[in-house]
Amino acid sequence: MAAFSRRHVLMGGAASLAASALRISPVSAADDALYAAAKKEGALNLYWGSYEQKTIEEIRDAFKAKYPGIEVSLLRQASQTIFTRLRLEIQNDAVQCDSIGTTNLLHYKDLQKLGAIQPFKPTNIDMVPEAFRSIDPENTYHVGAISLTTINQSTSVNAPPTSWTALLDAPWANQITTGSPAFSGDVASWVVAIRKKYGDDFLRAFTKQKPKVGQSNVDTVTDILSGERKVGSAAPFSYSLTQQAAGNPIGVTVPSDDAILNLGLTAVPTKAPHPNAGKLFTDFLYSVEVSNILAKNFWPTLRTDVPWAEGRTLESIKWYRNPVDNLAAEVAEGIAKWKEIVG
Amino acid sequence: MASSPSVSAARSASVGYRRHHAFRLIVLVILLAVLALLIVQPLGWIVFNSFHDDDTGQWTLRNYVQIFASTSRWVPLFNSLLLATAVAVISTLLGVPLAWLVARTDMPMRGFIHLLTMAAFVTPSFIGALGWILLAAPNSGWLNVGWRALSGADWPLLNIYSMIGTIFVCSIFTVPYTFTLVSSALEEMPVELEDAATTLGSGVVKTMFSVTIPLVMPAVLVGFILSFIQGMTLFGVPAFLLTPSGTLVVTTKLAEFYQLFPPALYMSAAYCMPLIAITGMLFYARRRILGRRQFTTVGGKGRAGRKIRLKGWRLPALAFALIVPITAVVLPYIAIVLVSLSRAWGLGPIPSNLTLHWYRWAIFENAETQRAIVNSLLYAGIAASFCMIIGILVAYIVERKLLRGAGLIAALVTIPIIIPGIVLSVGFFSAYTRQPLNLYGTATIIIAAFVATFLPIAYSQAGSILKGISPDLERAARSVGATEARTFASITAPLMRGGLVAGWLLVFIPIMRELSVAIFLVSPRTNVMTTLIYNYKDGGNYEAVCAASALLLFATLIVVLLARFVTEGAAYRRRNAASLGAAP
Amino acid sequence: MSDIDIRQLSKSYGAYQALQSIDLHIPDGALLALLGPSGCGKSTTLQLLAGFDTPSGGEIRAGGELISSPQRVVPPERRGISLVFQNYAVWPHKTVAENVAFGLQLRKLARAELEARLSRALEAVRLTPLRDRYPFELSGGQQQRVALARALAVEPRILLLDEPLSNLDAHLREEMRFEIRRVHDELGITTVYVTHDQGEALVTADEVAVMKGGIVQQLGSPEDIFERPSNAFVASFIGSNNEIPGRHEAPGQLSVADTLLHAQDRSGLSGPGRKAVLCIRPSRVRLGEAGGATNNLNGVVHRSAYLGEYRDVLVEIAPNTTLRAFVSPHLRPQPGEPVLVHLPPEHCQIFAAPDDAPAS
Repeated sequence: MAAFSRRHVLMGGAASLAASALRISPVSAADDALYAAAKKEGALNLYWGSYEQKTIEEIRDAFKAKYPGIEVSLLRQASQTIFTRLRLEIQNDAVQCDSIGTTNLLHYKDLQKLGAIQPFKPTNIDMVPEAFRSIDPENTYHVGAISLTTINQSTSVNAPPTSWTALLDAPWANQITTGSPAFSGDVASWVVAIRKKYGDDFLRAFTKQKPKVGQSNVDTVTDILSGERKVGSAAPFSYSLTQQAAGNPIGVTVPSDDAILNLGLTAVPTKAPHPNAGKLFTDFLYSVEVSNILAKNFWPTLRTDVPWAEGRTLESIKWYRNPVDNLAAEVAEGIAKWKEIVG
Repeated sequence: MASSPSVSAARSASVGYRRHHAFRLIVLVILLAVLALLIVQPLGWIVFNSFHDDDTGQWTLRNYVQIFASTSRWVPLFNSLLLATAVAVISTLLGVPLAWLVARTDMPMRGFIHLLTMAAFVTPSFIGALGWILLAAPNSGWLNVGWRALSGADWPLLNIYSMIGTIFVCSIFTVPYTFTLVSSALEEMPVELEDAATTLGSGVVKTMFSVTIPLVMPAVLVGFILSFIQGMTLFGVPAFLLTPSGTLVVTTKLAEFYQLFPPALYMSAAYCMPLIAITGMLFYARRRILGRRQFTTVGGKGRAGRKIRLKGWRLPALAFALIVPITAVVLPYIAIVLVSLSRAWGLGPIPSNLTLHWYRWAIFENAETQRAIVNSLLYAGIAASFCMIIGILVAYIVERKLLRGAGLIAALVTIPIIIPGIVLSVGFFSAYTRQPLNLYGTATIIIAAFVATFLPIAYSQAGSILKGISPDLERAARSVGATEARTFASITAPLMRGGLVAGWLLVFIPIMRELSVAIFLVSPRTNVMTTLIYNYKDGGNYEAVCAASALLLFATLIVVLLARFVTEGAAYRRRNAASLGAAP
Repeated sequence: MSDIDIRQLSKSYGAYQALQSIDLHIPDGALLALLGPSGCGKSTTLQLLAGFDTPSGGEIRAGGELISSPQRVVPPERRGISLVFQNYAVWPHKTVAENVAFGLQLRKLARAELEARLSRALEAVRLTPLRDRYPFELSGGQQQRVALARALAVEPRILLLDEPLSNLDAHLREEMRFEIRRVHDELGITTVYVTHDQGEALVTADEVAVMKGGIVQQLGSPEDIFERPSNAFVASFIGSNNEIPGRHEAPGQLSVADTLLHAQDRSGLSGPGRKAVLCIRPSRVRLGEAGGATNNLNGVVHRSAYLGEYRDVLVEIAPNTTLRAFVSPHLRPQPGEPVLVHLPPEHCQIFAAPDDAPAS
């Protein structure tokens, strides 16, 4: 729960790097058949919004190294753009995408309703933390990324707020920066969770602190690094750690009243031009190689047997995930309330 | 020489009659077909979409009703109108005198100011906004930090997160439109006309306002309209600077629509329609203002290098002329370059934090940036050239009234620029991913989208150059036996050249920095710099963003310099060829 | 060479009728001047002749061949008709020689032939020494010669001149008038010369067509239109003129303020009482002598100006009716002085009052 020191981070990074050099998992039998089929298809078009450019490029490169003979094209854009594009492709019957990965569950509910994503069971899914193993009973979408929303702060802050409610304390007036739920899915998840936990009173008190509301949650880091604000609310956990590791004067605090966990998901479109390659990539996501890359880039890993950077694990962090049943309505309501109260 | 009457000319007259019309017909048919594909189709889809329901996909008028049904819908329209008007006014007030100073006077550092003003044009607006956040954010902005240190005040001098801040940043990055249009018009204008006024005892400034500016009125008005449109369609600046105050404009509202679930694409299409009406009114107003007045100034090329002498006003003029270069380029790029040279930009510009890593990475190590730089230059170059060709053809047909209903074509090619890129992008997607014209994933679809989006600029520029060339120069060629095509090639085109290069740049540069129109059209192989930079920004990698932006600026500046080299050559030839022709 | 035959040519722009219906025949090798104030239709006629515009009605034939009709317009470059513009329209990016040679290059002549014709054209307008200059290095008169040489070099069957001298200063203008006539006489090309300057028209043209309101008012030799104008407009437009409103009393008779005046009657009016005007050139008015039995009036000198070669005197002959007389500079009438005015009947002409001019 305390702020992680920079030294810690560097050590963790070095450790997982060493690990990745040692462990190269052998291609399994199931993968063999799938690889053969994918190789026959010859190409793979990734449409990914989860993970930033650098991480997803590393994942792509690892895939290319492991599965030669498949031409991989990576289109990395914002999740909503990726989703909108796939929807347009479906509308125009011009699907190019073999594997979509975005940060919003609602995308997949929508695609599922359209029958646009195909069911299959990834071979390595059993390595995924149990809570995320079968998120869709129909198996049309699977976990693609684990994203945590926490607090971040300038290193000039000696005693950062340790919980969401602590953000409402007097010292943080005029010091908070945050993103907008209307522009950022992660911030929207946070608003839904915070309203579940504390109701609209939290938003009212939060507004009294005069937070600076940017667009994306990445803006919190920008504001802290530039010195415009001191503390970020609804801040991106992994990205803040990356910036810290790069040497920027920023730290991360996991609030005692739960980091908000948002699952990034992935699926293979029904009309994917290279469905086997898409499935092979999904399998690959749950490989040790990818989890090592994720750990190196301060992302939560997708395997229980690969620890995160600095040796953290899913169990070591107190997290909360919004229930999915009525999510669409709750997001819409959350945004509306935010606009009404925060502005 | 009376010995051989042109009997042959007479005999072949009827052959010529048919050939002439056949040629015209072919050119027209091709042009109309191209315009239909480039503009009518995508626009048609946008209009078609605007009448459909996002949830059900059924025909509906609901989208239009909703625009005016709630304040949250029409307030952004109003804000945009305010922003755009202010931007247009300020850009005109800054840009027109700046153009005059650079093109017409002996002010020092003209070349430098010209180059930096063009550099302001190169900067994608979200980069400019980023630079100004670093400079003028209320708490951390360097200018505010300096102000507090100097004055001991506890309040910020500047707050960039405001409507005024937004207007300011949009304006300084829009001035180059007015500047380029007006200065290229000024360069074509005969000095004699100004001389006539000054010898009549009119002061320099009075001459500028009473003679010079009115003569370049078409360019001033086009600059005003383009600036207005820019103020309407910019996304990056209001997204960064207005979001904190909760103020929405059209483009940020559209971004919200796209963020909805499912994305309100059809609603967005309907939301753009009022913009078309507003722009239509602007162009109508321009027609009314210019009326039947004649603006033919070419050929009346002035004498070489003769400049108006500012005498004691040289330095004050320079101070004024430096406003845009300093605020739009020098200051923000100091910030941007410092960030790009940092290991971790949050540490600030201290020696141990300096590195060339991000440049090395962007140029040598990262295949994505390498490809994107090449793609950007290539697509922008090709698209700008096509834009100019089509723009000139359309302007020629309209200005020389070669076709009844030419006004309609002019209106048509003017529409795309007012539609925010993200909506156009969907229109192009719909238009070009269907058989038989499936261009999805190719470079062609991106180039086509760029051509259509920026055709209005090419057309406006070509039109204002053509307005300045007396039709008599063309008729003289016809009457000694040149066909329409030959006349165009031998007379009109060479006379347009200087303005054409300026026009080409005026299209090339915005294409280089265009983001949204490409957003649904790029594929991994056809990624361009701006979409890539935006991704890095999305991932928060500001050092990479800034290094890539600096490279984008650098690459574009090289092209600007090359183009200037070409123009200077042309100007040199024309200098030897200063002219007479039409008296205004 | 060829003649030009214009039949019932009309042109309207929307509701505005630029040309009503004109008929003109220009014989082969003739020089016709189209003369009239601006808006009279002369430039429209020229544009139609050159092929830049489509007539609304009627037709134009050149050498018997139909070149313009509402259905069909032979494009300008196929007519063998050269045009010289008011503003010269010399191409600023080409040298004198390049300007002149352009039309020849289009004809894909052999190099020697091209050079010969270029030299001839430059020679004809006396520009040979300036052949490598750019237009901006030339005076207005020289530029106009370039334009003329350019038009002539292609050896057109018809040459059109659109107010070619109006941008030149007075001195040059006079010189160029003769220049144009000289070139025409040398080459014998059928030429149409549009001008609003009667002096130019009279000096250069074989025949003059005076136009107004899209109608040809009179077609005739310079002498014809000066001495025998067919209406008051022509009389006033060509040279100086007095127009004295009065009442038509009988053929050849008109009363002005109770005085009956005798004159050549061109009014076509019959029967008394209609409004009419009497026209007489100021140079024909006699002052201070009763030159005959009739047409003597008592006037009062209003103003008198010495112009060197003659004296311009304004005389009031009736309340609100004045008339000008050019008299010998030796006469010195003083303002306020009564004076006897004689209007020689052979120089007086009666016309119907113009509809659009107030007859009072």
